[in-house]
Amino acid sequence: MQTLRVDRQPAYVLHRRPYRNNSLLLELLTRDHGRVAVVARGARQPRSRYHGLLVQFQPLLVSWSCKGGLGALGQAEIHWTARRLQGESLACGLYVNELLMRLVHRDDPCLAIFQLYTSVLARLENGQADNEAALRLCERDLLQALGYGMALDHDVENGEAIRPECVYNYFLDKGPVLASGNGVTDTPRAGVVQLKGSSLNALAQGRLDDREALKEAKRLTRMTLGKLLGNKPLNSRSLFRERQGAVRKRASTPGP
Amino acid sequence: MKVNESPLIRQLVEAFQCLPGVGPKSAQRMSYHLLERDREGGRRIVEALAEAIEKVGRCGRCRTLSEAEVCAICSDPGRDPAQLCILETPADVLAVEQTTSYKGLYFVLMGHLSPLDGITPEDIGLDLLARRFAAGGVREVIIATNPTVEGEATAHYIAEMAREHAIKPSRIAFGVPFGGELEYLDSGTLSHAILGRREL
Ligand SMILES: [Zn+2]
Repeated sequence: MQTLRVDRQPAYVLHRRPYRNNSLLLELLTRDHGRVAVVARGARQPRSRYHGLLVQFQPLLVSWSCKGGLGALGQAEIHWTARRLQGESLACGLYVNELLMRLVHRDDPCLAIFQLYTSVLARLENGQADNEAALRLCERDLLQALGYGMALDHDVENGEAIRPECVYNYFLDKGPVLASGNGVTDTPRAGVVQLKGSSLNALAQGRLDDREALKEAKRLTRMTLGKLLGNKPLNSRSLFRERQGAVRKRASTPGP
Repeated sequence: MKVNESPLIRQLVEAFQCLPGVGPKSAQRMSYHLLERDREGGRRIVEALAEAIEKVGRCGRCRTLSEAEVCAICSDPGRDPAQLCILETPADVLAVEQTTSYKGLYFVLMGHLSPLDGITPEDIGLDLLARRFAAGGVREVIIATNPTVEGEATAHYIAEMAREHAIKPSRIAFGVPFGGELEYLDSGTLSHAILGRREL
C-alpha cells in the first residue's frame, strides 16, 4: 500500500485520548480529507513539540502520513488564534464534536462539513446569546451535508411555498404538510413535529431570532437527528444543566 | 519476546506493563531484577499491593483514596469546611497539600466530564457534590480542574451548580509560570495565557 502524505492541512481536533505510553490518538476533522485518525507520538510527554497545541477547537495546520489504518502526525502548528470557547459555548462545542464523531465517517472527505464546523465555532466564540441559533443551523447544514437535508421551503403535498401564518405537520420521512383545520393541534404522534410556517422559514433562511422559532426548530432537528443517531443518546446533553430553582432566563436549555 | 522465555516470566512482564510509563523493555528489566536478585522485595510488593487493593477505598465525603470511611483531611477539625477545592485526582490533592497553605477541604472528581468518552456528571460524583452544596456550610468553591477542554467544561458545570446554591465559585489561574520567561514558552501555552488573560 502506498504511503499517503499530507502537508499543512487545515484541521481541528474533534477528540483526543491517551494512546500507548505517552502518545495521543487524535480524531481530526480536516478540510480535504474529512475525519482522520492519527497518532501524535510522545504528545503526552512534558517537553513534547505538540505541547498545548493539540486541543479541541484550535484551528491547526497539520501534516501527517498514513499507510492504511492509523496515520502518524508530523508537524502541527496554530493556523490562527481563535477566541477560546468558554462556559456554555464550550459545552455547545463539545456537543457539536460529539455529533460529528457520531455521524461523520472516517476518510470520507466533505468540504461542506469542514465549512459548517468552522462557521459554528465562529458563532460560538461570540458567546451565549447566539448559541442556540448557531447549533440549529449547524444541525441543519450537517443533515444537508450528510444527504438528509430537510425540506423547509415548501409543503411536500401540494408543492406550495411555506406560509408563515400557517401551522404545519412535519413528517420525519417526507417533510412539512399543512395541518388540517389550521391551528388546531392534532394528537401528537411519533415521527411528526407540529410547527409554524414562520419557524420553518426562519430555519430555512438562517435567522432564528425569536424564542418560538428556536424552540420549534430544536424539536424538528432533534427528531431528524434522532433518526440517524438511533437509540444511543448523545452524552453531551448531560452537560446542559436544567436550572432547577434558579430563575430561568431562557425558554429552553441551549443544547440539544 | 525471546523464544525460550517461560510463560510465567512472560506473564509477569506483561503484568508490569499496566503501569504508566512502563513499556516492554523496562517491564522486562523489572521482572528479571526481582527474579534474579530480589525475591524478598518482590514478596513485599505482592503483600503491600494485595493489602492496599483490599483495604483502600474512597472517602465518603471527598471521594479521594482512603482506607478509612472518612479520610484524614475530611475528619480534621482544624480545616475550614466553608472552603471546598475541587480537583481531578488524588495526586492533585497531594500536590496542593504539599505546595500551598490551603486549609479548606477537598472534593476529588476522579476524572472530568468527557461526553465523547461517555463520562457524565454522575460518573465524577457531581450528584454527591450537589447534595453537599445543598446541605449548606460551603461558602466558596475553588475549582482546580486541569486547563484542558474537558477540565474547563467540568469547571463551568460545577460553577453553575455552585451559583444555584449561592456559593461563590472561583477558578485557579493558569498560563505563564511565575518566574518564567515568555521567550521560552511553547506557542500553545503562550497563546492560552493571552486568550485566558484576566482584568487587572
Ligand atoms: Zn475525604
